[in-house]
Amino acid sequence: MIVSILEMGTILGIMALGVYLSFRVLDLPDLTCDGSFALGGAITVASLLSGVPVIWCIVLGALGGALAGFATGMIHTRLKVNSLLAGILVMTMIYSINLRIMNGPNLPVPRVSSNQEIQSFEDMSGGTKLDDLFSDFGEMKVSTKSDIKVNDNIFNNDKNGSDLFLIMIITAGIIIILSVFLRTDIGMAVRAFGSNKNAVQSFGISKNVLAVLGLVIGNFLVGLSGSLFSLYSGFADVQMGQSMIVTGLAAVMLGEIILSKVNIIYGLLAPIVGGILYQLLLSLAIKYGYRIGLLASDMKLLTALFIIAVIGISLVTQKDGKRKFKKGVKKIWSNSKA
Amino acid sequence: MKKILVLLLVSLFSVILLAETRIGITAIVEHPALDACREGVLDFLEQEGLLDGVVVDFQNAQGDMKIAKSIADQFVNDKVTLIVAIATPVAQACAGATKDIPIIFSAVTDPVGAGLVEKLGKNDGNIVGISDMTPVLTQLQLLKFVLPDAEKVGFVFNPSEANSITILDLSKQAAEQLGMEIIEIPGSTTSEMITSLNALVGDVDALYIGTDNTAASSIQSLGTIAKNADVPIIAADIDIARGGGVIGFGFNYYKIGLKTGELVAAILRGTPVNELESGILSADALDLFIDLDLAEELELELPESLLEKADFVVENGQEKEVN
Repeated sequence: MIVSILEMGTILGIMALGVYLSFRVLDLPDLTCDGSFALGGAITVASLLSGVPVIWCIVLGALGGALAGFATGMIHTRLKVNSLLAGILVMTMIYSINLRIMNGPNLPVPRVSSNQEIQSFEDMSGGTKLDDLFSDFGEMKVSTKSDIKVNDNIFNNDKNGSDLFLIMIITAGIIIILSVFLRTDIGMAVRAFGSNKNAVQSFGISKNVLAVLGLVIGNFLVGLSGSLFSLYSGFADVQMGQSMIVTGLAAVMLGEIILSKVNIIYGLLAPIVGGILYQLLLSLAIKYGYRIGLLASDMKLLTALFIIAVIGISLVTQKDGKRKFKKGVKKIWSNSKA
Repeated sequence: MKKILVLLLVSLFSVILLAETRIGITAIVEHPALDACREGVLDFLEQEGLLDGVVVDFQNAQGDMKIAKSIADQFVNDKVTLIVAIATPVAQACAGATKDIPIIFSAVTDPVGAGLVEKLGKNDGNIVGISDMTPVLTQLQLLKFVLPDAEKVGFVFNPSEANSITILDLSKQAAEQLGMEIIEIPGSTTSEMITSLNALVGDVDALYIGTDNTAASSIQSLGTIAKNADVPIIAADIDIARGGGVIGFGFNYYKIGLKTGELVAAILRGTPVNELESGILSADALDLFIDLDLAEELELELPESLLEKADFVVENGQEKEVN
């Protein structure tokens, strides 16, 4: 149980990291991720089925997400469209694009090869009671053929921890690269953009470039997460990005409760930890929830309520509450030492 | 005190968990047809006396794929005896989560295209189930039989439902052989579907609706639009037909559930999965529904030979079961 929660939670954590970059680092609310998550999965499974090696499928999926982020960035900066609206526009476009990419709503990562024909119901059952009415139409035949080949998957899904190891390595790589990037000049500029969008002009870098860059990186991660999710869960579906943004936000906030913003490394770890916590809560709701009348389907309501509660609490504590709280902690701390 | 309470709770849970046979049932959404399917499964098990001392854990993924995946993982971690998966995405999520626990899929139109089984019939592996493949050819022949002059047939569907895409593919082939053309009327939400139909209803001679969940949810409005445009609806599902179709010919999802229940019962009694056959319902489970009132309003003359075969007829505002 723990292994699958860690695996799934870390995959969601990578998505939350993308959300963290746009919402927290850039301070640029972005709703593209519902689209780029599904886009990453769609590209990965579609290219896997057409024989591309699995590693390249993941890279392509992540790049697809990056492209979606680029589109949102360009619409936002060039056409001066609000970033939320730009994200919604791109997300809506991606729905149609995904149907094209997968040539349908759903693609499996098959475990069995098959080039079998599925015959029509009439051929399989030997005809229906209406057949004698239709003798004038003569012989007719319809069938659907699926050509499915099993491809190498990076995940083997046997819960012995090897999947987890792989996911952890990927995640660690991402965090190291990101933390190095955010310490470079351009990375510093991206962070500064989040604090004061106009002051960054003094870095000599256009703020538009920074906004686009941030959205590209954020959605690259979301696309990567969607790609890994598809390979891990065994299918890509056009609806799989649904309510990702809410999950991502919840994960970011959960993570920030656990890990305070000491430095950028903690900031980057928070979404991952939050993703795992979110998955833990979801699993508990599924496992024990039905005994107290709670269903997995209530998670959406609970997640949104949780986000509202966290925002509410942080507002209250920001004013004078926080100071009092800190004072209180200090008092207890000094008392305990004494 | 707190610790003792927690300990008590934990031990209570583990006692409950150890003592029971658990069946995991998961569906992609709650929806009349899929709910009927689930009831069919449970009713069959109840009749066979197989539900005594069995805990049935039903989880609805609410259309969310990551919840579908988590439910599958949870069932596997709980070591449920078997999993019943209703509709394509949840069946795929379960298939991805275990190679050992038996998975019985239901209401999946094309289990081969969904990557669940290699072929219908007996397969190696842990997956078996019932396809809700509907007699597309017969339904379109029926349409041509009732409306010999029909040339353009509108197919109302949601492009994000895998089942509908399979039926679209089959109906295009059938229509071509019957000298008709399928006009696609897509809508990914109920409101889009209504807009789509409003725009295209003038271009078609008849409408054909498959086993589409979105169409099923919006059939009342679709029926009104079609009636106002004098276009008859032929449906692949009796319940959809009841909502606004002249003729419906298809399976009752409750019966699909009963048939799925047979497979579940066999597995509970110890039959290995690879000795069971994935399949379809037999043709005698098909029902023919005819709405004579609507036919009269649309000035549609239905041949007596067809009426003789009807199972359900609506006449003077009342539905009767014939035969």
